[in-house]
Amino acid sequence: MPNFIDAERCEDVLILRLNRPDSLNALNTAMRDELWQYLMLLRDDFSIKSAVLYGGGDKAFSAGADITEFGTAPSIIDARAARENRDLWDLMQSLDTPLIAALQGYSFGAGLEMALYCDLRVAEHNALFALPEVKLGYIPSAGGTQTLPRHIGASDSSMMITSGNSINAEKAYQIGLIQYLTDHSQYLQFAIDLALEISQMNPKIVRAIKRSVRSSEMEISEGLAYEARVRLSLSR
Amino acid sequence: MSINISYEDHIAIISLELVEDCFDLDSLGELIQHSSTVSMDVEDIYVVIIHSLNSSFAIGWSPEILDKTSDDQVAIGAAFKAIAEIKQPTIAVMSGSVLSAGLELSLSCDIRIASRNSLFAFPETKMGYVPLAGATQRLPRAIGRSNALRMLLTGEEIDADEALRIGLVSELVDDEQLNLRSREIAEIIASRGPIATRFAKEAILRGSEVGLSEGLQTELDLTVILQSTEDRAEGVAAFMEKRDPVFKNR
Repeated sequence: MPNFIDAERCEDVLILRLNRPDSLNALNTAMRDELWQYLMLLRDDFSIKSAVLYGGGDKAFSAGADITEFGTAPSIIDARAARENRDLWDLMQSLDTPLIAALQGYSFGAGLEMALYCDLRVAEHNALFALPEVKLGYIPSAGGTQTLPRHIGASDSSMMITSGNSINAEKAYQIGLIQYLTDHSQYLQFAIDLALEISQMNPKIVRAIKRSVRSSEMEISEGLAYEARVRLSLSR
Repeated sequence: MSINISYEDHIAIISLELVEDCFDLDSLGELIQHSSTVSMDVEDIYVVIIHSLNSSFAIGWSPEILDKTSDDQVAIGAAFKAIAEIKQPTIAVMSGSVLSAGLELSLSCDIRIASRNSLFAFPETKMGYVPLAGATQRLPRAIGRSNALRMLLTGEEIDADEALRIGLVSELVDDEQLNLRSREIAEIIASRGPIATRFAKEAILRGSEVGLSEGLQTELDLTVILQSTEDRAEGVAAFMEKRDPVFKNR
């Protein structure tokens, strides 16, 4: 069995590499299963203080879902049930450990959606971003219609999602889709350095901030109460 | 008629030709009528362009509307609400002055593009009243609270570059290229799966008013419905066969 995800530890940082470079790191079922295992590790192993996710090879972070699996999918009812039973994306968005996406080349479809669940996005100058699902007659289904508008403005997200067209790294930086823009030779090291920097901070504080910011999905009064509870729990 | 609708292939084009660039009661009625025409014709209309035949997009309300008592003014927002509720993706194409009601109309659309010469403002505060048709709700949702408050509290005019920077518009185009480019974007959207683009819009809009987990459930449910469509099967088949898909809106 090949590994579709390689993991490497660098001090307190876990570095995850999507490892299907010949398929532009397209997400297949096996890769998703492995990712699930690593995300569980991130959730449960508190010695890991932050993580980096990047794409192997030199062409892509991930070109999206593996379309050759589309015909073999179980019935839509089974697929929905499976998603509800073991929700990879929900696990990713509920992690308290910071996750940094290092993006090269293509981040398309589920590839971009995966990056949108990360806390920070670093990209290199030739990176391209798209949610091209409408070209194939469907919509983003790993959360893109929900996460993208929460990261960038309404008009920009509608443009990307309803046209399916890609945007380049410059535009992505300008509209706030990515937070850091570097040369290709540096993007991965930049992301790792960022993760190392965060790993030096008090993990209780870092996790508290992630939990509190996530509660900004609540009504403001509930969110503020949640923030206060998190803060009080730290001072005990 | 000061607002006309025309059709090109699967694109509906709503053309403003407002007297003095202002909305009066008749033009609001026309807008409601065109919105329902478009929404009821999802069979043939895949995308909507709203633009102006005048040099400015629109700059405000007619004196007739401003003179109304505040009770009557409540109904004024209905026309822009009808635009916001159009099922298909909508594109506001703006040039010249985009003020007050003009900017509010564009905020009821999904995508905003503008000519490099355009200017944007909500001058209402300076004149001693509040925007009448959704600005205090739709502007913060479009560009974030700080930039929205900055525009609404100061009434200051921002130019096209600043509008691009704060995400009020997605693209700037030379004035003479504006029609061409807006048609191009509309054609791209119209070439995608039409059920998918409508559902994408629905997922974005419904999801923006609820918490993330509820929004994700909405997206998942719409995805499951889409999986049974002919267009989705065609889209995947065309991709595998490396050809352009032929969507049938089924």
